[in-house]
Amino acid sequence: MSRVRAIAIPVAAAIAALLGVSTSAGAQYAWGGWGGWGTGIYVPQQMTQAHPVVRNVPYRVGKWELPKPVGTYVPAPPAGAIGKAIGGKQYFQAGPDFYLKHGQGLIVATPPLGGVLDRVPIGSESIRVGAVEYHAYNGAFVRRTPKGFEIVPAPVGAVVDKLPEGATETKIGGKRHYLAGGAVYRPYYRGATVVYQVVEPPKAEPAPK
Amino acid sequence: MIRSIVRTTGAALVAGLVLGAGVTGQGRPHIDPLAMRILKASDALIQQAERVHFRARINYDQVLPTGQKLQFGGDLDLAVKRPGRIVATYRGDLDVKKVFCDGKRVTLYDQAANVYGVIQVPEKLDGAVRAMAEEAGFSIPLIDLVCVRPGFERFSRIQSGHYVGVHRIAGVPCHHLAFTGPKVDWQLWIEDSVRFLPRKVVITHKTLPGAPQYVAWIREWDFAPNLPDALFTFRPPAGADEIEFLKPGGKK
Repeated sequence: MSRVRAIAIPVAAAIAALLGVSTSAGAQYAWGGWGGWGTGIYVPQQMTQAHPVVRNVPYRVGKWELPKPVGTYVPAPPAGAIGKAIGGKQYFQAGPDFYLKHGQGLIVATPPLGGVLDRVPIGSESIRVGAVEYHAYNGAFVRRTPKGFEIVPAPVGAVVDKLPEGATETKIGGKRHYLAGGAVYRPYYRGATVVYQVVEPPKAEPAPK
Repeated sequence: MIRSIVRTTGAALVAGLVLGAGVTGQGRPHIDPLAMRILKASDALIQQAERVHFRARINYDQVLPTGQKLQFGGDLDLAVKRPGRIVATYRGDLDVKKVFCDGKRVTLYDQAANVYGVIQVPEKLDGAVRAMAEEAGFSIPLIDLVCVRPGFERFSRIQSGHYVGVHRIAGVPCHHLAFTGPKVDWQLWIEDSVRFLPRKVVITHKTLPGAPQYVAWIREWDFAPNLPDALFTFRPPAGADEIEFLKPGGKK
């Protein structure tokens, strides 16, 4: 028997992003005095695997299907999925979702660097770093390139509400950071909400002689 | 005494709310002086108190794009000791947060991430609350009830105010007040006694899709709580790390 892991986790955030509302304002609305007077739809910030407070928020909005959260299990490749080798792994891609084999079925993986989408994923979070617009979903960043919408390394300076799946905690210069997909994230407060900013990786320590 | 005035005029006021949407014959918004008087009496009493402690149950809506509403909530425990000490604990469905203000520093602790942020603040309560909003971009739930607030500026933008009637909250007769503003409408239930204590608040974010509401039931008001100074001092739990605040409205 396959067990479906908690789906729906970043979905509410994705849904809010779909409407172009600021998730930080949303959080402020929930937490702040007098309801915070925020302008935004409230978005739960703590929906993580480790803190599964809300499950099964519908991830289909009307006719739009949102990207499936990382870890979603399916018994067979979805209709229209195309096999693609990216970075030495065999993926099945269906829209913005990249599946890897998992037991008898497939599981949604973090979108791999070099993967290409034909459109901006619905519900992705639009993030501007300098003059460049990125779209974040499922712990990955998408940018328009001649190939299409390509999954690129996390841009330094971007702020996201949620760490990619599998991020690991570490200390850099005595401060807490997280490592995920080759990028370094540093936690900050944005209002009363904990967010994560992509920062420059630390310079390699000079090798001891 | 106020209640007697109310009983005679209450029905007419409600009718006015329904029919006239709070607009007078001249087309100007109507602000009922009785509603304002009760609001100000309540404020004055709480703001003169040297020590205040209350608990509140807070519920709020999350609106999905489909229009479906999800309701989440939390329990707040808030204590204030003037001139400038605050301690607040919020245990919600989605987050647990604590705020400590010792008159010099404010610490915001997030339990899930086990992190805390610190800012320096002015000595007095009002200045500290303002600094939290302006420098760190957050506010403590319902702190507006106990200090002259960033939120109170919004009160100055009241577009209409009505006295709805005497209605019971948790068995206590309360003055039910209803105000409108440019972005939010809010209702307040203030105890019908010499204590003028707020018992319930409802805020309607009327410009947001689905008009989500924020509801707080306030209970256990105490103006002589035992509040040793140590209560207002943050001691980092094991493994907690300090993080910085991004500047409100932009990057660090």
